[in-house]
Amino acid sequence: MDVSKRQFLSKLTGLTAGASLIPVTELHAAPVAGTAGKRYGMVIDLRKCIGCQACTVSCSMENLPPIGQFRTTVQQYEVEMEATQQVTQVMLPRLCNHCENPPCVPVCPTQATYQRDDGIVVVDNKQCVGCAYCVQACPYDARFINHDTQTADKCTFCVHRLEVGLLPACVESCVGGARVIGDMKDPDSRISRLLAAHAADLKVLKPEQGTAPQVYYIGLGEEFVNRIDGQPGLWFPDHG
Amino acid sequence: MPVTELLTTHAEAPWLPWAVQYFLLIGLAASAALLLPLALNEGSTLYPWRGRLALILGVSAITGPVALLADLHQPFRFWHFYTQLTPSSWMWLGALILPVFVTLALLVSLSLLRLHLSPRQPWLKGWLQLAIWPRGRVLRGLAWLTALAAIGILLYTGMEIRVVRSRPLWDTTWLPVNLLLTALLALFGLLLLLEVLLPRPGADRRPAPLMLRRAMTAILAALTLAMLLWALSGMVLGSPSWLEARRLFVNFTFWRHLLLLSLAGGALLWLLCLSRNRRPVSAFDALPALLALLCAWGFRWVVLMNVQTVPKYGAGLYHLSPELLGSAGIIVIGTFGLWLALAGAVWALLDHMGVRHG
Repeated sequence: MDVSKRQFLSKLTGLTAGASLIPVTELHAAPVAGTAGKRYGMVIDLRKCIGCQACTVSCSMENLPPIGQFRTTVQQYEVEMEATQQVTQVMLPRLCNHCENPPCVPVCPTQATYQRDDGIVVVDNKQCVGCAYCVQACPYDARFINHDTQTADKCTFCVHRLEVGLLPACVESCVGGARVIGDMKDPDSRISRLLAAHAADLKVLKPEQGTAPQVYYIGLGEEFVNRIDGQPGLWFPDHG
Repeated sequence: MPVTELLTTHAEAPWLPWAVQYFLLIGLAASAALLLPLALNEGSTLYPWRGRLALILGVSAITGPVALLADLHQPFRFWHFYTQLTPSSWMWLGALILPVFVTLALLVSLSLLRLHLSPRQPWLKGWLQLAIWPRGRVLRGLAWLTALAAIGILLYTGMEIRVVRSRPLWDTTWLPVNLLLTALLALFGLLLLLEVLLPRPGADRRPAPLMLRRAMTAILAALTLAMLLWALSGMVLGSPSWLEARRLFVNFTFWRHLLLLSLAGGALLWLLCLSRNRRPVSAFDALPALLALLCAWGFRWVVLMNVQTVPKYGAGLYHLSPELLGSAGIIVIGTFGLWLALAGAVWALLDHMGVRHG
């Protein structure tokens, strides 16, 4: 065998060995690190939410989840004030909380779910095997198995829009301006100023879970923090 | 302040009935693997069932992972489990343990059964008589290794559910314990059922099969104790699992019915085991045997499927979709059918001196 053939074969061996590592290297390369030095969060001012579901619709138009599946919704409740017997309505926008300690990340057996440097929790749906372990682990029912892709799906804070300087669809379309997103590390950002101004009145959902949610609510009643203890709105054969 | 839900969303159950089948079948395989090294000792009371334990181990170790694969929404991506290291995930740890367990289980199962297999095909006969099959001490060593891997399986399957804090009902150390005990209950139920349906001629029908019934009663006692301790420790320590269960029992007729059904099932099994404690095994024993299997399956259905209908935030209960319930029948029949087909294939090859009759 002449030298050039031998060199060619030895290079081919190296190439083959390298190729066998491709899935692994791709995996490490695939996740986008996120915008370094930032920490995205959201403040939802419930006093400004009118329950119009514009956020629900615009999210669905932007992200195209299958019909009947949602990355964000506004849940609506009727509350009777015991002191005055007055009935009022409460609107509660729900989405992924992009927790500081996201329980969905460590359970994912394929590292398809991960948290970027800027705090946004995303799913690499090419790596996801659809085991739904993350769906179980999320205390907020923020995740679901997308019927089209058969992989885990959830709100991404519209990261594709944020990266090109646009606001998430839900924030953009909110008629009352109830949803505010921004960099919480920037003390001059609108969200940081809101967080500072309403520090005493900020609440997160299910704080006892230790997940440190980064979606903060202004004006959330204590009875909405952990679990709705009341008359269910969903039909179940048992209700009769 | 009374709250009424006006508009909310329904979260469907992302874990499918395949998971129930996997947990039952892998539980059967793992508990058979735990007992097999003991059964290989001639002095052991389990010795007469070593062949049947090997059969259950082998067949369940194949059918279980098939069901598990089907529970993935992207089953052909299963190899993604092996493209990175994720020790934080019990499911990933399980993905490492499972192939080891299945390989060892099949090796041990076939090594034991091959001595009793009498195929007509020369190539199969020759293959089964190869000198490379482990035997004697090596086989015993492998059986112990399989038992070790089975502990890994039982640990990971239990912990995988137990660590999910978002579902308080699962948040209890008693869950892995109860999964193990119900798996053992199912195993002895199955051994007793085989004893009734396919008795071993020549075997003394009195003392040996009685052991199966006694073992079942002992496991039932352990299970009753574990359930009582779960409730008692929950009351004293205020554990999330107990508090959530109590909330469901108090607020929802459906869960009260489930509780009553479970208690009635347990009580009936106690009654069936005790009432015939000293009598020889007869066709009647098919009842406690089937009930034991049903209890173990039912426990997994409640833990895995019904628990998913408890909202994490909303009021009331979700329901299992008609599509899911419709598919459940096919899934259950399909996996048990596969189990029976494999077991039947091996059974058909057994000779007249071995597992089938002795």
